[in-house]
Amino acid sequence: MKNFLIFLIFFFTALAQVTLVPEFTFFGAHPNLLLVLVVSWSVFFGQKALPWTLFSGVLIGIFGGLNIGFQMFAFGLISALTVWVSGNMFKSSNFLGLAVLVAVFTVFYNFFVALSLYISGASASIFVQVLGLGLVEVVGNAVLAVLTFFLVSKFKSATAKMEYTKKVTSVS
Amino acid sequence: MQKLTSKKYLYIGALVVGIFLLAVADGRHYLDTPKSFIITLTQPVTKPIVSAGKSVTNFFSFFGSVGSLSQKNKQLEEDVRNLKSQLASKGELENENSILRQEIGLLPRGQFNLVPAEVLFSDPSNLVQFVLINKGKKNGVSEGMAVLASGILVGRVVEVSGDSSKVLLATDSTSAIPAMIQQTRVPGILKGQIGSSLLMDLIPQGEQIKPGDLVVTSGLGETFPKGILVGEIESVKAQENQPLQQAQVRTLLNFKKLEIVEIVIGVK
Repeated sequence: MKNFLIFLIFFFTALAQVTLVPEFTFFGAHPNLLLVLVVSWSVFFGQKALPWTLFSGVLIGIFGGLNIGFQMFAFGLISALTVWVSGNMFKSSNFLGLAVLVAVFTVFYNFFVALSLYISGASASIFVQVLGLGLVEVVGNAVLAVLTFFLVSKFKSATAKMEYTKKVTSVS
Repeated sequence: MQKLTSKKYLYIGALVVGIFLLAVADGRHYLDTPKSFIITLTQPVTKPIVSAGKSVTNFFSFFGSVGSLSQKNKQLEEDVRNLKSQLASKGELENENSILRQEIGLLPRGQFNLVPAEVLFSDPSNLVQFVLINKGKKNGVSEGMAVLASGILVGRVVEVSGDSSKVLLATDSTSAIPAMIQQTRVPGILKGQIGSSLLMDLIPQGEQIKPGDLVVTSGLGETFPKGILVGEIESVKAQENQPLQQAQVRTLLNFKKLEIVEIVIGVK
């Protein structure tokens, strides 16, 4: 049940990212809701988040223009780094910490995509262009991170409660 | 503990190899059929999401534009008058042109065979400019075909599966389109830039170009038919002591809000 719910969350977020989110474009850029979810999930669920982040890489590879393997690798790496950074630098999950992580990984992801485009034939100026657009996206993603943080934390506490009730019922 | 660590490394290694194999398989189009199947399955869910999103953005953009509606209306009325007069003279020129073509033994100027398609998805990244459309091999679409919207160039088909195709937009940073200024026939190469804009590069120095000049495809390279409207010159980047110059091109479409496009599957 829990896994099915998580599946739906990632599936509909990926679908929203390729359909709904581009409608909300400001200054030429739109936020990356899926990236925000990947970082948030990794902060809250640690290593357990990895399969879901890889799954989101598969989804975005299917719906988007870039290679599936590339997207899986990018999201997997971001998830692993988030788990490592949040475990070593932020002792307790907080809004500011998550917003900083999301901002840093937005820049990281954009440069990663820019690198793949450069390899596939884009001119070197793409790295300069990424800077301007990336900043707009960083702001959008950091704002979204606050909302996502709240929702993911609610989901975590709700599922923990459900599991606790299930255990108690089975013991009694 | 040692055993656990080496097991962990084994998992990571297997994962990396798995991802690499998937990347290769996707790069060689082995995954096109399952991808197309999943995309077809999601279509009933996608449409309500897209229409909900459009309703929300239209609602907000309506309130944002109320103040400038009267001014916009006046401008549009003036544009309609200008276009009507241009249309009238264009009709005369077309007649004259077809008569002259007949006289010198040229074939009549071709009209495009178009297949309309719906845009399903846009790429999630701001850096990559792709859209996925709901027409594929079954509708006669093949790789390299030009894609238009309202007669204006959108891009070209780069991947085709049974029921869907991937279109690389003209604004993508890896896109390069042979183009020319319609009035003066000055050639150049249109390159996509991040943020949905275009740069006309490799324009010979000394050629006169000015803001407002229309840019059309030149037909070189044979990917795009000749004469498709792409945009208009916004500004010219003067580069003294350089053999070539550049110009910023304003696109006439909102590439972020494409809904219906047309694929050029042939010339009549």
